[in-house]
Amino acid sequence: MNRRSFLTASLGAFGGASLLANPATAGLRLWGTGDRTDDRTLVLIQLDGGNDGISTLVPYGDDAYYRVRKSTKVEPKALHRIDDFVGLHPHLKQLARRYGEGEVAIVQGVGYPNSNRSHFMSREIWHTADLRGRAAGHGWVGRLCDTAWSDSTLPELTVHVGENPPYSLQSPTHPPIVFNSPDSYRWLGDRSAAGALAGEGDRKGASVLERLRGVMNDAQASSRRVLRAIREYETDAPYAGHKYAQALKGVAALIDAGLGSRVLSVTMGGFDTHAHQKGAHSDLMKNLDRELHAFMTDLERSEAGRNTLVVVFSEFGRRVQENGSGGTDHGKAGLMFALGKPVKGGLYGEYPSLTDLEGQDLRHNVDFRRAYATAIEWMGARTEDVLGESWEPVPFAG
Amino acid sequence: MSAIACAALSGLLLLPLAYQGPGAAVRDATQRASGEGLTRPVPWTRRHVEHLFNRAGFGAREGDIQWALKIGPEALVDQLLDGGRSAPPPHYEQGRVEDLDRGNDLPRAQKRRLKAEWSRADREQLATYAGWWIDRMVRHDDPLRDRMTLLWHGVFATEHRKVKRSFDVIQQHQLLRENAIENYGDLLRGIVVDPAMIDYLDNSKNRKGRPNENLARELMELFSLGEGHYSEQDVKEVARALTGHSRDRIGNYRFHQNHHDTGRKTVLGETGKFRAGEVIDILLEQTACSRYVAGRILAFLEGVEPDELRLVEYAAHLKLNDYELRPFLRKLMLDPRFYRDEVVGARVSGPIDYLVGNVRRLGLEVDSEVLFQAGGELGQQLFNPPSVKGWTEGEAWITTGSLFTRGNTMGLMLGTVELSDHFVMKGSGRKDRDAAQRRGETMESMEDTSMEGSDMEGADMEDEAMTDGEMMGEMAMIGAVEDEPLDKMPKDISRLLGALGEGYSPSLNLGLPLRRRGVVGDERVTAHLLENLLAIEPPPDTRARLARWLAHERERLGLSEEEFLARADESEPLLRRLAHLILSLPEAQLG
Repeated sequence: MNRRSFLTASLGAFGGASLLANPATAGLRLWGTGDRTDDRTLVLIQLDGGNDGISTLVPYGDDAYYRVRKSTKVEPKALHRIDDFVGLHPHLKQLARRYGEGEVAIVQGVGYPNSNRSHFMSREIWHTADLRGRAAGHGWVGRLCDTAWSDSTLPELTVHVGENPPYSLQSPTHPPIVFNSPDSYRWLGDRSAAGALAGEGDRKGASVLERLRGVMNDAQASSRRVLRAIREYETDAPYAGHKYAQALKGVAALIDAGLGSRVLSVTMGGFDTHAHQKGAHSDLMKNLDRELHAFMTDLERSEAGRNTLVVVFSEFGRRVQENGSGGTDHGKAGLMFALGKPVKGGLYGEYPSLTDLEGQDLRHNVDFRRAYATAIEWMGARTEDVLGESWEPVPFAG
Repeated sequence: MSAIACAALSGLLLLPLAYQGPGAAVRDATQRASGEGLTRPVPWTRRHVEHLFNRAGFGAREGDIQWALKIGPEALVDQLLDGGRSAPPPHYEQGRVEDLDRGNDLPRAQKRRLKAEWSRADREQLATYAGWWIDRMVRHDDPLRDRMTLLWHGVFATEHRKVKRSFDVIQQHQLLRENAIENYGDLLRGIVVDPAMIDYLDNSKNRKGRPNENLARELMELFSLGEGHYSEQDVKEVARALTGHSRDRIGNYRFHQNHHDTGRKTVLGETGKFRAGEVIDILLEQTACSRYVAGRILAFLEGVEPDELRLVEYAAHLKLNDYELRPFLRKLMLDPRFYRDEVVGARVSGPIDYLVGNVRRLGLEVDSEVLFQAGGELGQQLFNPPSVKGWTEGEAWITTGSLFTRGNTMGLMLGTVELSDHFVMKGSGRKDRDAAQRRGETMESMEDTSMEGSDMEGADMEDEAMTDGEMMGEMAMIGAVEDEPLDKMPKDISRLLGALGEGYSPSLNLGLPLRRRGVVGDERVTAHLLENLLAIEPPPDTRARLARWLAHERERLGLSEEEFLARADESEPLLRRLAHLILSLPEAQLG
């Protein structure tokens, strides 16, 4: 029993309400093997803008790499070699170490058919897990909630820490709570007036006002629990203070607090490297490595954290050939990472050929929905129930 | 620094008229609009007037409504289209080459310091300009132009954080504002040679034989056709046509003939040795283009995506008029369907809308640069959209977190946030004792609420299944942690306080107009404030709920309904707290 569950249990005995008050425990469903899945958490980290997979996991063993990448070329000697063909970017030091310890899965050649080079359309496709994008309906995480925790009324069932929640969390039935600065996640008006802030309404309401009232009700209900979790949380994990550090730390705090949040999301920006990519991407890798390392270290401290699957993705990879600006334009197949104790580390998929291209882009050999399927099944739901069709999971978790 | 004198009448559209009180003497001045193809009348009640002011400008004040009811829809629409005189923008200047090169021979540390100074001065220049623009919105001296400029600012999104030179983004803004209600084709022609856009979408790097597709793609995806109406080959060909469009170091537009690809290109089925101008002509010819532009305007002003029939009608009208925007806007604002129930009062305001509208309706004097900064905290930092796609409008603005932040921002501006309740203030030095004391107080006030709460909807939403005893247990736990003041004030709050300035106190008299009109009683006071501060019709249940709260708080002051307003020193702070509550409501997010 960790510190948190001890606290919850003792408060339960004292207050008699803590467990009953948590609506998340009402809607649990278990599939398959008999393993508990109701204490599992999924964290989604989006590298916004289209991360250059070729500079992240560098195919240094491929002669073609040196022909296509001149100004963005990463020095092979400095790479963290995975095998005699690929190596991780020099700044991905901790990620490489964790890979060595079997806690990181790298999925290569991830994409989808007829990849769309628009950021916005491609994000929609990733967020809905449907090639039609938004036109197909709500976000895939929203549909996961409908399937796995349909009865849950917990507002913080899904959480985005940051400003704009990704469309993946969009759902009329289980919309996310969102906060940017966790410390100010509350209304600073009269306590006596707080009860008058929202009238009847919920987030499924027919009118926009009813739905906004629903948001207000969720905000008020979740505010106390979130604040408590954040304010009670102490950690010595080595966050380096990049602006995503606070978001990741907030996620770690909520997971540790056992509020019942099942999917949490963070977005890191800046990956749209059209010009002068080398220095910019290098910084991106450094920040990613540091803060991700701190976050994983943080998660390892608690039972709930050790039961968390972290998935890192980006809307597309970048063009194989550099453009004329020392950068790369929008491309197709890219990379995904999965991290955490539940992960079976290793390389998955195949590194796409730099010469046998689809137009000028890498061909994908793993549909991203197969990686979603892995996460979905691990969370205790069935892929076809969530995605509407079955996909063979990439066996990196379970 | 441009301070808003809201107490002053807004230049063009405000005539002082005695307020009759909500519901009283609402003139159903339904008038027949004689615009093209219109046979049905435009409904013209105070609700519809307010709607037009919300969408064509930045919200109506009581005087605006009374005046508009008198002159009727056509006269008002013509006024909006004619616009008014705006105060000229503040002086802004371009960097000079000498400035750019100065410091090249300095030691590194000094050079870095110099650079930091420049970028601070640059941000200040931008903030001053942004303050000027927001001031135009608040004063409503050319409201429709500024409303449409806000749309184009999001369509031709350009981030100052990437471009860095404030002069360039200010110039771009002037281009957008000058053409905001003129001609879309001119906007498009202007934007492809706009130095800020060229820089933002990397077109300086787009050269013959070394294409950079960034501008070409967005030109079609976001500025003209919309995704799905062009091929990847078209992107490549348009990129070739845009080669050579560049800017010099200082930021002036330059066309480099030797970087331009003079070869033949095939764009959307047409072939020729195209340059940018010809490409734009081809784009404007596309049905997809008129549909895209009409759709953007309709969705922005109506707050809902147009249905197919409506889109076809308006797209055809736009193309027929060679993308002239005034006839389009006139048609829309005199279209009875613009006033349909689905649209009126059902659009979620963006942060700038929310802030400017509130300040207008409150008559609050706040430095416009504070609003610029507050917009950023609320997710709409002018001149720094989140991406090339601009801001996502509509319900996406509202999250659990942004609702709190919006209400808190208004609370800080209204001076109703008791900072010491929430944060350990600097210099108090008695943190532990204070906290312990406050815990006691908190218990009392919470108890108070839960007792009173039985007749207040939503008061016990935490968990209805809890018994009183359990509730108390839960509260003891709650009181012990998250009601404690924070050791450190969150950055968003301290930044806003810093912008408001030390010792800020709003110059505001909410009680005065109520006293003048002889408003008496919690119900009527609440009704008046709601009517004046919301951009929509206040729902009855909201009015009742807030009146109950007001009654409760008034009684705590030991005042009767009759004497309440007369005791201004006691009623004014409570009225401000009520205003803070109102502007934090879900209702206040609509307009």
